[in-house]
Amino acid sequence: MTYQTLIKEKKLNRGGRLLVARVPGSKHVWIDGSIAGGVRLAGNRALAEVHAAMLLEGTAKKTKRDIQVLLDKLGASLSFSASADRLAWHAHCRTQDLGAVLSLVAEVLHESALPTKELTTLKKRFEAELALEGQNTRAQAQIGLSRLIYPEGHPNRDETTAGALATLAALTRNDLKKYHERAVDATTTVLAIAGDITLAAAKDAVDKKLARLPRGTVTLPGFAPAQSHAGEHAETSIKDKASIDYMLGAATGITKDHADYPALMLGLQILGDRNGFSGRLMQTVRERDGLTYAIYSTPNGFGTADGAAVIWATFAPQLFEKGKAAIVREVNLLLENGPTAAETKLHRQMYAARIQTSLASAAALARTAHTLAAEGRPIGYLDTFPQRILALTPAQVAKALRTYLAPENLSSAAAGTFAP
Amino acid sequence: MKKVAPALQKVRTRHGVAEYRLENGLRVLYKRDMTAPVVAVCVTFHVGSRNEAAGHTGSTHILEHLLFKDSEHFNKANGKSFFSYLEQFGAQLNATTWVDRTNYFEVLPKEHAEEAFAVEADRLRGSLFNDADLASEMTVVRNEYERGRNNPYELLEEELMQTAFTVHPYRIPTIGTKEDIEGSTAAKLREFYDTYYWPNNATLAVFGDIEPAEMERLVVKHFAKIPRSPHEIPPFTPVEPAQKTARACSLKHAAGVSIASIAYKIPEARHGDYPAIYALATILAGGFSSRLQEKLVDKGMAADVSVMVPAWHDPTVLTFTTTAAPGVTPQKLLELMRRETRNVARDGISSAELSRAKARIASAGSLERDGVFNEIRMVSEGVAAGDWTFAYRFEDDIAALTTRTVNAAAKKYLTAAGETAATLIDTL
Repeated sequence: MTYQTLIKEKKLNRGGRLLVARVPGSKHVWIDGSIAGGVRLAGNRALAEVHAAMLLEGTAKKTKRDIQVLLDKLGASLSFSASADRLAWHAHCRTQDLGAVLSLVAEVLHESALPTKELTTLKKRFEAELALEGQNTRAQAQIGLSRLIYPEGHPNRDETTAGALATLAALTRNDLKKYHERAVDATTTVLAIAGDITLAAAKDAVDKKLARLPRGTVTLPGFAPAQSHAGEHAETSIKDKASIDYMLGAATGITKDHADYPALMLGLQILGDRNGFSGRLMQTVRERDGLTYAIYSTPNGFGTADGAAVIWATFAPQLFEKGKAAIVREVNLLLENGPTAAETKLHRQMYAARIQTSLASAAALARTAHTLAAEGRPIGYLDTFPQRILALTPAQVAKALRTYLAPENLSSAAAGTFAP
Repeated sequence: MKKVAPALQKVRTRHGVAEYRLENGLRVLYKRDMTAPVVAVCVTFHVGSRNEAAGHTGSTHILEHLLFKDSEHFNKANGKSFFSYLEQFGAQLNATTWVDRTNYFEVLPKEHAEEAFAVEADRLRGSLFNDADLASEMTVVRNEYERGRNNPYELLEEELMQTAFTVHPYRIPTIGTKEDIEGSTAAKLREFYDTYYWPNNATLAVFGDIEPAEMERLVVKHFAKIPRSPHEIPPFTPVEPAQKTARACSLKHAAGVSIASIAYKIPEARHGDYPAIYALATILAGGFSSRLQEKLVDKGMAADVSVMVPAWHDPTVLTFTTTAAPGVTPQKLLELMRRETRNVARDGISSAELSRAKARIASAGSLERDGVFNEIRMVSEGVAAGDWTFAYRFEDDIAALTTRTVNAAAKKYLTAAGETAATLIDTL
């Protein structure tokens, strides 16, 4: 079996890509869709995220309550969110209700009312969420690191929680309305559907229901790629926290299309496999030294931009210094000696075989197909990329790690209650 | 010629799942599903934090961690430690501990399915954990505990459960107390292992693209040689006394927001009223159009509302939790939640509400069965609740509900005497 044959693709009549994976038997479908937009188009996080959430707050024809009752009557779920460069929606429903759910998606995208009353309420909700984010050690470490390694205007650079609160406070219905008018462009649609449905039936439903979506000329603003630079360090002190979140990383300046990406990805898996327990950091810092519950390293932010090599871990305040030293020790060991032939072989095999187990559900197929298409890749990438991984040598992996994980370029951010 | 009884006896087939029993008492559940070329394996031990004695809270969970250390045939010395051995085949694996059970599970490409049987059989009686393993793992578990302390919702839930229960171990979080985690000993954990980890106290589930004959061959090959326990598995005895008056608790914490929870005593998952309670909870807080969503979130009083209706082995609590919007006190949220629960107990639900709840619950069922890895864990929860068919028959039970049965449940369980209210007051 290849994913090229399992996940079928058609162009949509209004433009954009439709990908369908048939998983018979459940009488349900999982839908992941998006159009170009998100924070890059909106210019700030509050506008992009509030706009996404406001879509279900009412249309020209339906009140918020009408939408809620409709979704519950169908037993369907539907939510909108904004990423760095997409306005995305995620839905799940009975196959027989796909048309109704797609109609609603089209209606909220095309005829959103953006009611002022609901905006006032929604802003309170966001304010509470941001207050929680301000006390969330992981979120604060992540925001802190992104601001150290990515320059102003880069899609992977996060806004501070305080910054998001300030833009949220100033946000008006007029801002949302103006943004909405320029944000919907059917030609940028990517729609992935997995479940109990054929490609022909899905194409028919999507073309009919999304026929009214406007074609536009949305172009996301450009940005300068990040440059590697000497590491910087930041700490965010948060009261009454029992565990510190620590993130360490460096911008690479390369995208997924760069020739070094597969070797870097495998190298980070060898260092600290995010999806399992066989990486060095898990085996040493956790299993042998007992310094942490959770630790991994991973490529981060490579969706449609240049990304970073990132390490994340949590530590008790009294073990924080030991934990940091243990991470540096393991990074240096791997950089100095490179990965062994045996561990390179193990992780190559693991990566290739894991595709099969990680895509053994309709939800995962829809999510993965959507991600690939939104990145502008062919579905065959799911078959060909593992082959590139399987061909990597320890020397290639070592070279990529030495280039992009150089200790002098590693910045770090920590958040929590620090030991005196 | 004398007929030899097969080692694996078929017991019954329900909802497309075949149930077998090995001579040593191991229950085996099997479902063939060829949707994807993978096989999922899950061993559920009928032991969870409810089985822990005072002073040894968290033992079940620490033991779960230690059972990923060396075993007789899977160890660092022979280069076959559990994780790297299975992960080389692309396996996704883990384990979880919860109130009524501990489960170990993996999903693998079908051609490597036997590796999961071999690993799980070795874990069952062949674990070799020692003092050194515990020394490094204790701090790992302690950091897991500390991470939980960072979460204000977990802090409040812990407070609520300690108030709602006076005797039953459900009052203590599964991860245990910090003192007990730090005070655990390998000898005590070994005793726990030797008490509960036996085939006659476990259920093996095998779902996926594997033929019945091959499944039977692998079960017999790897599990039939393990003896049943030389002792009776200790029965669980604590019974929570009936709650006669409302209870309340409160804590102060630098959380950024204030939180309120209100809980009501409900029966165990196998009880005939459970489906009606679940539908009632969905009507109150489980959907886009639920009553608490409308009255609290849509009116700007709360940032969110959620509900938990645990399908547990013993009677527990139904809990509504809500995060205060800026300027709203948790006491006000309690008052609003209480008003809604009293209204529904007094006036009942509408047939439209029940119809929407049924649609939502049916749809959620398809999410739980999306892929064998999800389905096998769903079945594990049924095993823990005391009936592996639970999740399958649940949908039929929900479909059969009437407004009358749901209204009766509302009157019976949403009572002032059965209530526990909990608030977390933000100090920032």
